[in-house]
Amino acid sequence: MILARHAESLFWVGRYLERSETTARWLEVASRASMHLLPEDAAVEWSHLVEALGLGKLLDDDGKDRSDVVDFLLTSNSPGSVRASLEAVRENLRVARDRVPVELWEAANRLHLQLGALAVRSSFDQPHEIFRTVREGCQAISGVLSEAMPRDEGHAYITIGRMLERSSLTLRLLTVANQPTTAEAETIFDADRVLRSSSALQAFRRRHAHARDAITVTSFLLVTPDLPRSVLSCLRYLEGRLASLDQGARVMESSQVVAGRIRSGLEYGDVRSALEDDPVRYLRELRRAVDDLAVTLGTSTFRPLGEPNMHAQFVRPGRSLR
Amino acid sequence: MSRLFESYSQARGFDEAFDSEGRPRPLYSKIIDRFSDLDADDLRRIEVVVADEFRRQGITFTVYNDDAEGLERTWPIDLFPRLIAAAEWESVARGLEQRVTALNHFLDDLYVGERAAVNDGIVPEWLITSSKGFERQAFGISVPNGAHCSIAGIDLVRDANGDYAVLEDNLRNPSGISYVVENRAAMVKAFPRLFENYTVQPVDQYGEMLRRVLESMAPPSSSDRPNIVILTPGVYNSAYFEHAFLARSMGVELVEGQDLLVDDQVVYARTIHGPLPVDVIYRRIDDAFLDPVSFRSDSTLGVPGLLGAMRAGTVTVCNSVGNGVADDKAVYPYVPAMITYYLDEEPILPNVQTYVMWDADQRAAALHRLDELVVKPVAESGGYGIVIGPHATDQELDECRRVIEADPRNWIVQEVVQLSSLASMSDDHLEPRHLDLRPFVLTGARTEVFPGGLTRVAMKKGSLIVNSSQGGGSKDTWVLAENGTR
Repeated sequence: MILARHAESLFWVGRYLERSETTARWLEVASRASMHLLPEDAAVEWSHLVEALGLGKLLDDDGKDRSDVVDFLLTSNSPGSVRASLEAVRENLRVARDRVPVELWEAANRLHLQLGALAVRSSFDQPHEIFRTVREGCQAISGVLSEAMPRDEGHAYITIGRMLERSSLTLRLLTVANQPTTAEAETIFDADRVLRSSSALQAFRRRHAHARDAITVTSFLLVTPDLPRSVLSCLRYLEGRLASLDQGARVMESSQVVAGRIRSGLEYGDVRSALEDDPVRYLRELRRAVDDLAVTLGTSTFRPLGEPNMHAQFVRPGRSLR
Repeated sequence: MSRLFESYSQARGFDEAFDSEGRPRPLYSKIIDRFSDLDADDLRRIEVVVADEFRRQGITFTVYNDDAEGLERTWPIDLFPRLIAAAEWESVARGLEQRVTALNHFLDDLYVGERAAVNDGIVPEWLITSSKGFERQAFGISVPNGAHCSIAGIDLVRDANGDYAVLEDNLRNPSGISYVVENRAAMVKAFPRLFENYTVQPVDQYGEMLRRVLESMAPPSSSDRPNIVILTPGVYNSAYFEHAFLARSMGVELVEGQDLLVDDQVVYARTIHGPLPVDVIYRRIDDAFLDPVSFRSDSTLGVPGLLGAMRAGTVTVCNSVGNGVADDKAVYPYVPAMITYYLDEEPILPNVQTYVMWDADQRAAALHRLDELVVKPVAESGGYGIVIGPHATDQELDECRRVIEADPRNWIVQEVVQLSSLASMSDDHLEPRHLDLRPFVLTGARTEVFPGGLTRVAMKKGSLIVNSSQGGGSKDTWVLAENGTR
């Protein structure tokens, strides 16, 4: 058995873990790219990044120069920062500490301590040490998850959280990348950056040596079955873990139905035509469906006996426990 | 001897490692040899390894101060271990078993039985009914094995002759066992060579032992694999680490009040598959917060209806409610009489000499020489509110006299116990520090004493206050196996 509350905490462990890792990777890609840009173009790029993370409201419109954004997203106390996300991982793990491997808590705790030490002395000019620390720390956590944790219900919820967050973020990235960037409504699709941000550049090159257009890249990240960050892979994996939980529990069925519907749309639908038609609308609808899945999961399993009380996307769960 | 012991001068009272001539006691000679091979830098390196080990696992405790903000500190442990010889421990353990057995008899007699001890004048009735820990709601709640207190922590001290005495009983929510286990794990890792010449009784079996005890506390109606949970106030409680530790080492769920519900006098846990019945709750929240229907209605930590389920006998809550009456410091002076009364045995472990303030003669005598005595409020724990006469100002003592006269029921006065001491690191050398011992006594089908316990150490020379909330530290406590020295 697993307590509904523990299931919820572990779900958020998965989401925040994915979010920290992804935010750090996107930042790393963006800061490398922005070195070759004029300051005004760089500012546009940074604002796209913040928008893709869904944090636009949190950052003042006038503050989006490089230093502010990196600091804001990396080490600030703002609820969207990597540091805050990792703190949320640790706090949620603390809640469910008795039912995860000791090594998992230790890996999260170590990363938290390392980042705390780095944030004190590292200025925005040297964020790469932080990027590396976060990347390696998250990889260590993933390693424990994969090698030391039994495939029990707790593991399922962490995975479900990760896959939901990963597909949601990939869809956000693609939505922003496909948006018209200039007044003439012309889309400049930065294939290189989108692929790098999804750790998919090498894989893409090997399969599509010549085409680098928006539709090919976008559909590559949506439906490539063997790419760990494609939305289809995430949903398949997620659906499988949901099914593993379904041991006579009716509450689970609704989430499985929702997940299956989105997955089969991607798997059997005509994704290319939908993208040719109106990419932004299609991607937005997909993301809304994924977000709805999170809500269904929350109302049907975490709080089956009470009022739905899903955390707002960027509210740190640790706080609401006080 | 090395520089570590160069400036070692014995404190008042019994030194556990050196005799009055300053010669190493045989029990400690190998430990002292080992430390003599080392210098302060070696020890500091080991200390860093231990501290890192604790920080890595997040083993910290929270100190609350007047600013309301809790401070998180890593657990302080001193590297010089405390040793107890097998024969000595055997006698202490028998004394603890005897005492806790009698206290459980008393609680069962009081809440479930005929109140024989009260009727026979062993403990005054008015003292019981005026106790803050006395709980009328507990009447008629019987528990399997008569074990109202399944987990007890009994604080022991050693007097000037090295003899053990009971300073305090903790029969409600004694904490500290996780530090016993983690101290040992850290010492074995950081200082393996120290163990070379000794055979030390292990401590990592606590989870199994507790699980066995809790299983034996399941209601008769439950299956032979009872569903056990630990009830915690939550992640912000200062002992949360310990709660999670216990859940992990027993392999049971760690629940909060919001995870449990009572339906038709049965307790259920809210799982992802719906409600699942619970048989035994090891609760780590206080009586007052346990059930908002029966106790504090503003409690959000507890479970509405829990007391009704206990009364119906569908669930066992360990420890049971109302135990505070038996570890009330005002009732403490009567425990030796309980032992004789219920067990017809002589108490093996004595109390510290205690004067009750509601007795006019004892009060007059005590107030007259308060500067030589210790004043304790009966309802506080954690070392709060204690005034040590020899260390107090005249003004403080006058204030004590005033509050004692105003409410004699609320105070006891004890002879100063010159706590025993043991070598402990201070800067770059070893100095004697006073210490006490909290062994843990578990009661299910029978009463068992866990080997050793938590040794708490005062952090300042001469200080008699060892509570971690007051800046005290700890030591790994070794109960040796028979012929445990090589």
